[in-house]
Amino acid sequence: MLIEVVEFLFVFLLAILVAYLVRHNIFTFAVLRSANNTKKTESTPVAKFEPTVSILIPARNEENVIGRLLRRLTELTYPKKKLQVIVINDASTDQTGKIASDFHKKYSYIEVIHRDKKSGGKGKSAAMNHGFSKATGEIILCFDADYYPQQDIVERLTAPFVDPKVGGVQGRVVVLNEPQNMITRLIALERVGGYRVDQEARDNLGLIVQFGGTVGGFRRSVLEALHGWDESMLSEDTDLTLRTYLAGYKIKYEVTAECYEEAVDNWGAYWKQRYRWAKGHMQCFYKHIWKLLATNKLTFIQKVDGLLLLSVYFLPTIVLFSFILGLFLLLQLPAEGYGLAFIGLVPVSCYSFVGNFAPFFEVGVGLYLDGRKRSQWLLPLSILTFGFNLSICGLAYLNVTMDKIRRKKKHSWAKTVHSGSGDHYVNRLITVGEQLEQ
Amino acid sequence: MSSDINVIQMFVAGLAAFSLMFLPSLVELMYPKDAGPRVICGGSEIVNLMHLASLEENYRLDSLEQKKLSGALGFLPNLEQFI
Amino acid sequence: MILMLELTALSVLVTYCWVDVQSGAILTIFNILFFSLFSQLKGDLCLKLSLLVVGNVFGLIWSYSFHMLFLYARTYEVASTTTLHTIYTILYPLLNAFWVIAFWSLSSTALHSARNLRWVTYVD
Repeated sequence: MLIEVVEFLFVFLLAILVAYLVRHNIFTFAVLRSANNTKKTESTPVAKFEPTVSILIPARNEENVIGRLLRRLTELTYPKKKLQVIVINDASTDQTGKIASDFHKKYSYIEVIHRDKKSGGKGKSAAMNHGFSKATGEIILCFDADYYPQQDIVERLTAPFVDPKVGGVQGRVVVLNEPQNMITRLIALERVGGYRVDQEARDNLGLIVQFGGTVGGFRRSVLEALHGWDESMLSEDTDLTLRTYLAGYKIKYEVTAECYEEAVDNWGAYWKQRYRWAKGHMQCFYKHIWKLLATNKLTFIQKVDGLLLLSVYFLPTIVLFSFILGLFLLLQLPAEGYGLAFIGLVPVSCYSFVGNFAPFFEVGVGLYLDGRKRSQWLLPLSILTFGFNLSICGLAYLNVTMDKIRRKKKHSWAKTVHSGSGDHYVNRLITVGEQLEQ
Repeated sequence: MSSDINVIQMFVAGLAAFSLMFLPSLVELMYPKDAGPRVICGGSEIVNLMHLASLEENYRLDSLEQKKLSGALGFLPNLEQFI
Repeated sequence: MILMLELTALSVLVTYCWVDVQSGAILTIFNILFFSLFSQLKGDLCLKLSLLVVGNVFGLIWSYSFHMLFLYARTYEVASTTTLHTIYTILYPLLNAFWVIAFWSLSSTALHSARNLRWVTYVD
């Protein structure tokens, strides 16, 4: 009886893994096909659509990076009279507030909200809601303090809103401090797989495009209808994504709207960041799964993709669990009849060397499309991040389950610390550009 | 004893083969040739100029190679005198 | 070209018959992935097929070597059969499929990279 139950469970988990493999294969093919069919070599023409825009920047102890972002925002090509930048200084204990205030004194379109210790420090969602209450723009964009956008990013991010069905937009994130060490290089690979292939494929195929919390934004009316950010969620971005689609809107992915981010550069920070993402994502799964399956605003394929998207952080746990079950079956079954257990381990093992965010061939194709060659050689090292994610997601799953049992609603927000190491690479890019112009 | 040594040898060989799989990764980490960061749009003028620079570099290298080749060929006899 | 395809098929068959089912399955998955994805990348067809053949031969040697290691250890009773069986079961799928990623990463650098980025102009 036990063997039959374990076998059933094993086959069920294996089916989930195969579903993800098929999904990622489809994504990879879709992006390759669209890249091969595209004959354009010029820059994508940007529509002359210039709504008023408010850029929200939540910042807590970001003195190392906030100045760089604000300086960059003063260099944007979008008309300043239609631009409002709101820095939400969320109970910082360093010079973040002072740096932002200095910019406010020089540039009238840059505003600063100072949250004190009593009202502040309650997480990004709370800060964003406070900023949103002061925003006046028709389009609300968000940037994290460690980001460095391209100069015409606002034009590119606002262009999709010409379509009234578009409720939100997401741009592409590129790692700025990629050369710093092995971790930043591996994170860059993850980003390539996620943004160059995964998101673009979902946009091309009309599936659920995920808002990443930064380098993106929403129509003001949509945010008002959704009552802003949910302050009880750790992954406020995934939550907003689902709520936008469930309200009948869609999110557009604009691959030409690119922005640098400063990736974490040590395993400790990687752990904290990914743990928060995993736990938050799992919270979203429990919050939205039934609404997603029951809604009539999405097609069947969108529901399937939404289900797989919401479950993605469960994947390492599923891989580990199916591996353990397969092992159990193999040891229990007669030696001459390896059969199901052994064969079943094959897709498990094929998938298990990759980050749960993108299989190795998806990352590889993303690098190919970006014209990167030697970075492909780093793909075998993704086993390190996968091993890490196995632990992170397993622990997050246990904690989320315990929280649900204890009906815990409040969660602590573990902030990612930024060192400002990206400055070196920004300065280098600017210097190279100036040298070549001479 | 000899069977123990053979097993150890095979184990070491297996480990070496496995480590070999990581060799390209280690090479790229220690001697990076594609470490990025990738130039994003809005830096397209930088990409154009960098592409031009690389084209000029390739042309310069080709010219060097041509000079070496013609120098080497200079040692060969002029066959036209026999026609 | 036909010779290369025949060599590929032969490698899969040999692996399936002489090594074990799992290795044969891994090699089949490798071929499917390689065919389906590399055919869409820019590059010389001969080069792609050569890489495919090399990959298959390498996969065959790789899985055969580890399989022989296990048989050798079992023959000379390095550890109890159950322990060996367990270690083999845990490690073998990981070892068996790992070469796929390393081979992919090396062979993709042998092909041309894409030049049709939509938003970046190149000077021709």
